[in-house]
Amino acid sequence: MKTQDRINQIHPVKLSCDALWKVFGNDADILKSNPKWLAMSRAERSETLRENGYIVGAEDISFSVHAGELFVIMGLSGSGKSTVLRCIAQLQKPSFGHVFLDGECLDTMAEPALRDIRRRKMGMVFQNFGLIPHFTALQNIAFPLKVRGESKADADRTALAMLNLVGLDGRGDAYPSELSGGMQQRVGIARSLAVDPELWLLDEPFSALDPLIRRQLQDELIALQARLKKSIIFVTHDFSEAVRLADRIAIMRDGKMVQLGRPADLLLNPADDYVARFVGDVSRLQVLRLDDIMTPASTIPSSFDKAIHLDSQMTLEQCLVDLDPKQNKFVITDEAGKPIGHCTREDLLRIVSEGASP
Amino acid sequence: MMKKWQAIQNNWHHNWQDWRQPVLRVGGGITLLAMLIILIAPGQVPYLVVEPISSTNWFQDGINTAIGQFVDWAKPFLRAVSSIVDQSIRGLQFGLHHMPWFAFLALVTWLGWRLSGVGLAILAAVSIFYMAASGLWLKSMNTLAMVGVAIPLALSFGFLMGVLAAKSKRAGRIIEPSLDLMQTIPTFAYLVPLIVLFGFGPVPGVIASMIYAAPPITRNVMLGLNQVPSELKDVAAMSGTSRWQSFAMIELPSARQQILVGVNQSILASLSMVIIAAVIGGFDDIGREVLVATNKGSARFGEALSAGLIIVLMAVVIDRLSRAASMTQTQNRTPSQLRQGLMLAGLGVIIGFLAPMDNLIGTTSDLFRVTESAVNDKLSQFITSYGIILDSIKNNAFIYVLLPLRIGLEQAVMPMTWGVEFTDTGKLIYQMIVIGGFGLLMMRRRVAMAIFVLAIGYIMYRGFTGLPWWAVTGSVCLAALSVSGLRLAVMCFAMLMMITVFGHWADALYSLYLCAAAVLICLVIGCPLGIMAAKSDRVSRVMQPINDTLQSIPLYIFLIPAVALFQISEFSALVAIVLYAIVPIIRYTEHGLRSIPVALVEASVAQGCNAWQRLIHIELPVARPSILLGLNQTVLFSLAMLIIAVLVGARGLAEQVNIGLRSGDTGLGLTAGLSMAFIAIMADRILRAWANKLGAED
Repeated sequence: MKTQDRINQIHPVKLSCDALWKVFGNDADILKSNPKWLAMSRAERSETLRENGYIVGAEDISFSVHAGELFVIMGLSGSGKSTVLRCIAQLQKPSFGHVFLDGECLDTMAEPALRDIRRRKMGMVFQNFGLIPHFTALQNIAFPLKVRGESKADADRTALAMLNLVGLDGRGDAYPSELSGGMQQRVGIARSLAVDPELWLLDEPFSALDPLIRRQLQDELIALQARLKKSIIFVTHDFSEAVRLADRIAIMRDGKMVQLGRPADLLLNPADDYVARFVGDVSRLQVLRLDDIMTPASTIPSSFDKAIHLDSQMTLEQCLVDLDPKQNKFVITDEAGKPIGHCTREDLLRIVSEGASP
Repeated sequence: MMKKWQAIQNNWHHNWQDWRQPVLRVGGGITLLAMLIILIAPGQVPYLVVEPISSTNWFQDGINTAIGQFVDWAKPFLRAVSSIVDQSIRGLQFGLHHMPWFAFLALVTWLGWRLSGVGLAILAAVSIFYMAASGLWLKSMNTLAMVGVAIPLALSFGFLMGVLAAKSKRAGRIIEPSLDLMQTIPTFAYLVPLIVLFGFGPVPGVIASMIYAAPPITRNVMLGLNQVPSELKDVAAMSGTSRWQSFAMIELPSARQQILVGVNQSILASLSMVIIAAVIGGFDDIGREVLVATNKGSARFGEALSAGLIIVLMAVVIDRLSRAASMTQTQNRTPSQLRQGLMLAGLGVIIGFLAPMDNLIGTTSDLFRVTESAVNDKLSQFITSYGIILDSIKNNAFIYVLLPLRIGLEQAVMPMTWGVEFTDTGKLIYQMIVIGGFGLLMMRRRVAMAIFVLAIGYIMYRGFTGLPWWAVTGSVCLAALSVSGLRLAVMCFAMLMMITVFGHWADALYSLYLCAAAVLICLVIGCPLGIMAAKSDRVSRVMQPINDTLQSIPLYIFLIPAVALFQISEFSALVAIVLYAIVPIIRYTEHGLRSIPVALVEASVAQGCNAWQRLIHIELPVARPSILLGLNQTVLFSLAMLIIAVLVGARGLAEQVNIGLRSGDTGLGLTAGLSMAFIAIMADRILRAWANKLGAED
């Protein structure tokens, strides 16, 4: 069994989308109250909506995010990825379907209750940072705390801790305009974490940054997540970013979810040409781990007796670079050192070369 | 259902696009033809020349009756409002009168220093010292008391409307169009009903200024709130803010800068209005002082000038103070203890030095009397030695420009005026020149130019007041049709008909004439000035402060020099209008020329254009939309000034408003005022649509 699948089995579902639709158009807000639409099948509804001049931003999206999982929604602009995130955050109300957080339905919730959920359970990071220009960095971070009624002293103490967490010690009195893009987004991250949310939403947080800073912040996010173990929904248009960060990725196109799976699943078995085209840009060596390509086996054949033992979480790159070129056969083991499968150097090279010529 | 309606609309719009050209051609053709007929043989077609509907005043009477009944009904409420406003003014007045002038000086100087710096502090100190020394202290304080009540009222009224319009779509639909009306109806016009409602005195002035000064702040509040980045609103929502928290903590502070721009504009508008209104309302303030002195002509020019200067200084100081307050960043820099101490000590010394001069107040100091009479003497010397020149300017302008524009060459050219008879032969030659030019241009397919020549030729021949109603209506509607569309054309037609129903058609033509004359002069002088400013940084540097000053002083002040030089006359009114209305055309011309893409200029240089060719063929055409916007502003400014110019001899609609005001004839004043507003709105919409169209074509 794959590592991530095991994790998901242990951890409960944090957030789920159930057949979520978002429709844009003149009177799209009242579609839900018309039983005609509710009675239709997915295909029929989709077709009828488009025929009537509506724009379908998100069509029948369902997935679950487990506690502690980093879930990435990836798609090009206009694919509906941000729409789905905004529906989850309830910045837009879904046209059909529901969003559940800890089993509570968010879209039917009354405004005060929703406000309360946002004050305690949700944090969001925005593409253009969304910093409040007339507040200092510290005031920005303290803002959600003050909104929920914390005293200035308490709010400032927490905000200061958050500032340190994102490595901006001493810059608390700076105004957003005095900070670089990378620093601004650190403030944005600190602010979204200030209320200690359980669900952390990031809407293309690194897209407005230059590549070096982006890379650096991705690393910091991975490090942060290793400590904080939030349930994260991360939206991006950058497939390599998605692959780098994600436990699982949902790929969207034209409002539909094209494929949902672990990065390795997408690489090895792209659902269609669209996904395959993204996959081609990513180095398999860095993404695939040995347990993705091994031949699973509870008993290892005798021909592998002299083979060296490798950890299943090793990437192909590590495996190929570090190894003695004379070694041809490998036994794959889990964390405890117990063999769970095997593979040969030929297997490795075949997988890598398949990736090179799509 | 929705879709079907949309389809019908689209279809209709589409059809209209097909119809547009033919309709324009046929309509234009008929209008041109009729113009030609009248030009050649006006006597043959009398029914084409008369007014559309004979003047009636049933409409005006109706308004009077309605208002009278309303006043009877609402008396207790009106009385209460009136007495609250009145008491606040009296209270403030009492405070200001009893505050030692040097203390006031110290206070404002301190404020100027804290908000901006030493420069503003000195300006404030000098201005207030001047007020005290001029002997007009108490009157200045009376004005200030009114302004002090009017500004907060206008600001809070405008602010509330802005928030309402930004937050509620339904409220916005009502408020937005009313802003146009509030700014274009000449203030005198609603001063009439306000006087009926609230009685004479400062109260109607304060309320009028509240109406007049609210739109800038309302607009800027709406703009500011609508411009709050949607991401910030999302941030607020995701932070779990309540509506009020989001508004107070995020949206309002984000819109702050924009709102403060509006605050500054509103303050200036309010000041300008209060002074004018006080003159009408009979409050013994500085504005009245100016008017009384101005009306005595050149003999009291010095007094008018020194009182006028107080208004200007007041406006400038208030303007700078409020602008400085809005510039102060969120990061407020508190000056060091030492500097604060030094400043306070300095002020203390100044007060100690000034306090013994307390007797300045109440009587004009000798210095001022001497200066004022010296100015008067100089002016009368100037007028005696250059009177001939001044008179000849005035007379020539009147005979050769104003009169033909008003009654047409047909009647203006007489032995008594031009020294020649406009014989039938002469008329024939004139007609042949105009029609020949028209035909020639038509043959060269320069249709717009041809129509322009014909129209000008026609107007010069018949004069504005001799224009037949259908020609005016037809031209305006066709112009609206060609630059915008059917909707604007219908609106213009309705407005023109309203003016007729009001019984103000003849007055409207008269106002149109004066306004056209002023705009023409502004164009002839302003465009070249703008071009010069665009071409030379030095000229631009000289013009800028002059333009700034012309724009920020209350309209009212322009009357002083005009009357001093040319007495009470239509020409003085024209001079005052031009002085005020010329600024936008200069500014927009310069702006338009300066913002031409460098690449375009370089391309034309590379193609071997000389400076003149470049200006004519490249720069002016490209800058056209901007220049048109300037023209639009100039038209609106001249209409605004027209109403004030009435005080020194303008006629037409503005005169009717004034008569209505003086005699308490609400119907007359209001309908005449509305008619002016209609003219302003039509001019504004057509010129703006034209500028947009040109801008879109480029």
